[in-house]
Amino acid sequence: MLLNSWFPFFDVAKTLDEMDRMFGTRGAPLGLRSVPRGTFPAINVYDRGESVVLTAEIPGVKADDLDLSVLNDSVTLKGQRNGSAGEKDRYYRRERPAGSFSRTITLPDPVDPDSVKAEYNHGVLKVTMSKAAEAKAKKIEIKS
Amino acid sequence: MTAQDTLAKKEQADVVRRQEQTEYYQPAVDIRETPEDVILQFDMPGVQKNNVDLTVDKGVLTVTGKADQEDCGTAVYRETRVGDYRRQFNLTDDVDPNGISAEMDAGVLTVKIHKPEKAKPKRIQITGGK
Repeated sequence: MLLNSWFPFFDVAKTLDEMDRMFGTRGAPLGLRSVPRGTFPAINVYDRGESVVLTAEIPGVKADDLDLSVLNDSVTLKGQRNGSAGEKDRYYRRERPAGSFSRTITLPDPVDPDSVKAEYNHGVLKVTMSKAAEAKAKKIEIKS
Repeated sequence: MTAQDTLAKKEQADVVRRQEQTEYYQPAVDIRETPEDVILQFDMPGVQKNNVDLTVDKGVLTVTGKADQEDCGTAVYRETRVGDYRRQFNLTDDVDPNGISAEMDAGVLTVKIHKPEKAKPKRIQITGGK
C-alpha cells in the first residue's frame, strides 16, 4: 500500500484471497463448458430447436463498439472495452478485463446469416439466429 | 476485553461472512483513486438498476445484484455462473456514508466514495523570513 494516500478499505489481502478462491472454481462445477480464467466475454449458447441463441456478458460497452459476424456455424464477436480513468487516477485493483477482445464460437448447427438479430441490454448481448435450411432437415440416403 | 479476545471475535465474524458469501458470485471490481473520490466499478452484466442494492451498515459496504435469468432454451455451452452478485468491503471509520453515490449503466455499477476533507492534500502557506 502506498503511503500518504487515503484508502478506505481494510483487509485487502484477505479479500483478494477470497476472490482467488472464487475465481479458481469458475466454470468448473457450474458450467457445462469450462474456459480458462480471464476469458472475456463469457458466452452461453442455447439450442431452441428452430433457432440458436447466443448470449455474451460484455458489461460497460456501447452497442456500436461491438462487431459481430456470422458465417455458417461460426460466430465471431469483436470489440473493445476501455476504462474511464483520468490521467491522475491511481488504480488499487483491476479485475475487470480491459482492451480489445475477440472470440469465435462454433454453433451446434449452421445458421442463416440473414436471420441474425442482436440486442444489447444491461451489459448482455443476445444474438438470435435461425438455423439454416439444411440443418433443419437432413436426410441421408443409404446406399446398399 | 483483551487483545486476544478482540482478535478471536473478529475472526469469527470473518468466518460468518465467508459462509454467507459462498451462495453468491463476487463481481469483478476495479478500484481507483481520483483527486476527489475513490471509485469502485463492478461488472454485473444482466442486472437492471432496480435490482442493485448498495448498503453501508456498521462500516461494511455491501453490493448485491440480482441478474435477470436467461430463459433461452437448452444450453449447449454455458460459461457464466448461475446466481446473484454480492461483494463486501470493510470501510474505515472516516468514510461518510452520505458521501457515497452510485450509478448503474450497461451492467456496470460505479460507486463513488467521496474523500473526507482531511484526506485531501493540503497546501500550507509558509510564512516568515524575507
